Amino acid sequence: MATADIMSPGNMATERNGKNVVIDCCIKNIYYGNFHAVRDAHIPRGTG
Amino acid sequence: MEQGEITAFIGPSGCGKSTALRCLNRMNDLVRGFRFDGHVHFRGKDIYHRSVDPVAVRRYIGMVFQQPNPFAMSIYNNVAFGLRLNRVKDDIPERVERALRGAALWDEVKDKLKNSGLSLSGGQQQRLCIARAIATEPTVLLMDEPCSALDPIATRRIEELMTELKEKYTIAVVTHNLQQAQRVADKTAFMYVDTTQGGRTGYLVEYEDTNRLFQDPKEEFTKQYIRGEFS
Repeated sequence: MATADIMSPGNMATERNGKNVVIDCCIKNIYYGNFHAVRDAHIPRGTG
Repeated sequence: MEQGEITAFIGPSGCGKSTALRCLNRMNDLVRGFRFDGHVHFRGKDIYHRSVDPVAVRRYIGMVFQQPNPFAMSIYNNVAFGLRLNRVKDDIPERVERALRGAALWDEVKDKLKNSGLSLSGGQQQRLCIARAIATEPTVLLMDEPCSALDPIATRRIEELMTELKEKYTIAVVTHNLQQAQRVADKTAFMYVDTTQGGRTGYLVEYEDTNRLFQDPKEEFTKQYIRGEFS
């Protein structure tokens, strides 16, 4: 599949609590070289 | 992050708010040594998948930075720049006007579109950058401390604009200003920094409806932070 198809709006909405989830984000770790910048930044489903 | 909502990232300096935000449109890819473990799904698709072009990601997930950074070119060309970059050829004048109207700047600049973007005030420059970001009609707008370089009046104007923009765009904003998060955000993520391993690693402490997070936080760190016991 071409990049444009992957990212085109309207292709793949997911839903939670009747609202479209645009970004589902689970950041386990971010490193810059050896620097551990971020861990465990998971925006959980079913909250809010 | 749900359609039509504003999500704020708050937390002390160095807790990884901007780093996390920049992961959402692969801006960190540009940083040497960057490694990412996890996933970011945009409309159900993994934006870190090897078949996905980061430039295409940023076309749909736009970004506004802390310092207004208009290019040294005319107001018109600042907005048209992203369109041309994305090979949009049709209706550029109409798209530029629509973006400037969307950023609540049109009435102030419609008679001086050939003037340099750098000739505008700080608040106007930031709205020009917002116009540039929305000209390509993204789905998501990431804003990294968009008001930190602005005076209170310009800040209030940007906050009003964010509230208007969320009708069309899903917004994520990093802010140091707790009142700003309370005023504009539907959801708030509080991040803190773990120094127990000898480093400084940011992590997500709590994510909630903004009203609930500020009125009845679950976590002790969140309570202390919003009471102003540390910053």
